[in-house]
Amino acid sequence: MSHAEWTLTAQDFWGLRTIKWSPSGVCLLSGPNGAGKSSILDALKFLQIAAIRGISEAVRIVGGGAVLQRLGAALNTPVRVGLSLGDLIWEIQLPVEGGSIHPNHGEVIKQGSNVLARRAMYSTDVFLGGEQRSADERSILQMLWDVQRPPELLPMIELTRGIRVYSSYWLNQIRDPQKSMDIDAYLHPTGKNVWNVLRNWKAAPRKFNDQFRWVLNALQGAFPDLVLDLEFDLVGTAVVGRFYPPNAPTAEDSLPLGAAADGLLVGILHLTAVAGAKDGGILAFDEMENQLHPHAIRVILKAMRERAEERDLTILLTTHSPVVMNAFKGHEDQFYVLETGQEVLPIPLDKARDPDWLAHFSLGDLYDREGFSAPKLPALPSAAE
Amino acid sequence: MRVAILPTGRMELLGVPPALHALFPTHDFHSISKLPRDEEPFDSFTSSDKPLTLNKPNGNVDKIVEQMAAELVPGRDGLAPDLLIVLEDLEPPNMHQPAVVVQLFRDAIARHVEKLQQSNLRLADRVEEALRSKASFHLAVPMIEAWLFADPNGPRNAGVPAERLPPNWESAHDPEAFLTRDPVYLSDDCSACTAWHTLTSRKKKDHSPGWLKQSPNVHPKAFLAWLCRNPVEKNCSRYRETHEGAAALQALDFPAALRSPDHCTYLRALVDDLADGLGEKLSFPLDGYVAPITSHRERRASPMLRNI
Repeated sequence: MSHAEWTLTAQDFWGLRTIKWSPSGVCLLSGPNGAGKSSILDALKFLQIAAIRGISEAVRIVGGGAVLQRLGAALNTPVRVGLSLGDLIWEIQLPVEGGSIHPNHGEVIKQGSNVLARRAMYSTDVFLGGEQRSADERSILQMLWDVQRPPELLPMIELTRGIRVYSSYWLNQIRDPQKSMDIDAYLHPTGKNVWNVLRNWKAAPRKFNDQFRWVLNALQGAFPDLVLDLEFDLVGTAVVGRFYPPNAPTAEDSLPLGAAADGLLVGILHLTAVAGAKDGGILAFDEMENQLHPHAIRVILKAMRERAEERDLTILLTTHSPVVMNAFKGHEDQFYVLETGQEVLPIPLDKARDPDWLAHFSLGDLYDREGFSAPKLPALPSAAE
Repeated sequence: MRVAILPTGRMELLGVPPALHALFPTHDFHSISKLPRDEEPFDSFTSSDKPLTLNKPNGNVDKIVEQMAAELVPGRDGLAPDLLIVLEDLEPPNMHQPAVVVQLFRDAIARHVEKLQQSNLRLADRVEEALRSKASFHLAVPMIEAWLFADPNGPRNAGVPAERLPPNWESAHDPEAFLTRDPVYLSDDCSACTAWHTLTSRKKKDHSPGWLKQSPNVHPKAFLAWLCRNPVEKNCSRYRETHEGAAALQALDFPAALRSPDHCTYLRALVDDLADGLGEKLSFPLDGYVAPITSHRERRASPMLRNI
């Protein structure tokens, strides 16, 4: 599936005043600590949860009890977050009242200037076209789809269901045997079902389009001295994974995946996430470089790019790693930065800096030299102070 | 005109622009540091206990060259200086082979231009042209502290007490061929460095007095530090590059430093190049020899910068 350009928009959401972002392919996002990289991933996660499980649930999970509003935003200004896809627009308005998000949010779905569905802030009524209904826990995106199934809404439904945000894996839990589940076909955001997913893929290569083979090939490249093969056993009702190093061809020489190095586990998780993405899907990884050797980073990035090209995926990576940044030399239009002093973020690096200036440097080296995405220092006190 | 200095030492970073501004007061001089907000110079590519070899370039020279090129085309925030001078120490291990140091720099330029050619031929052409017309590579020989010994007031300006000023130093030696035979200095084993002796072995290494290192007789910085020796300091000296050194550099008396026609030929090459680039006539006669290897007056078959 190939879809139209999509755009993430948000206003006063977490750490950022205005987000407007239309990434495509494998894109990088950098910025100083606290600049809002995670806020952008959270906005995507919010929309994915809101679309499927409802907005109150998204507020609960992403907000975690805190107000989602940007510190410093004007009082009573709603937090806005939305997606546009072609001429389809879905926007959520979260009213802020008394230091918390009011439960009756606003929401609108438009196609061009035509309003397909809407719910006003503070209201309990929903309008699906000309039809008035009472609001329930569903987003009106889901409600409209459930009630009317308008075909023009399908791309937005697919887009929101294809969002996967991987912020942190539960490595300790992943090391334990996992209860066998035949239905697991894609990676949970925590990675907790990884052995089930890989086992299911390996058991049915035709059904799962040889996704296991793709993961294994990329793993062999990323960890050439660690991995030749992966196998999964059922021990009672639990799945136990084993890996075979290149010099360990027999089962006696294999090692349990639970005892694998963190870097190997993270590599397996990243690749499983990418392989399991729906065509046209959006994947986001927060600081994908964590625990990985530079060689593994480069190989996994290359595999991500190939997969993104084949499957029309959008893969978003936040990073502080010069190694990751160096892999975007020549792709500066896909390297986005959160720079202080900009009204709308993020901006592509080749717009933030003169491309002729960038041409002289490796990007990781320039980042190291604080040539972009550098923290803003507070003004020094004057001599009189 | 705007002149950028790209140095590889803190003392040069702080001291060279004001020193040159005093020499050419109608022009602006500024340093380029590695980090935009810190006074952190680029890493030297000559600082080593061993002589450099042509087949072993280190990454530092490439970083200096790419910064030099970027500063000229397109310039930081689109604003390029009118002239740019890279200033590097030759260092004692390379005293016999300045040509190797210059060649390493030229090789790095060639690598950078070739890299640009692969991605953007138009940019590569502009960079090559800008380098030839605006950029120079100069050497402080063997290191920047030699300039202070060229100026009769240099050691005093750097904090050397009157009773320790080296007698008749300036008339006896070319500071750029620095050599001291001071027997007290050469035999000082730091036994009087009481504060240094209280340090742990790890910290002793970090604060090791310069004159304990290899070949102190040809090391003007170590000699200057020794002249400013003070047993209560951890490194046994009051001399600090960023304070006393930079202050003495800022106060450098160029006419006095260049008064001897046979001495300071590398410094003379720098001043001569700068005066030419700025279109200025110096207020004092610049008579004497210039080091041909960094002189802009030398005709070269394939110049890469103004002077090499």
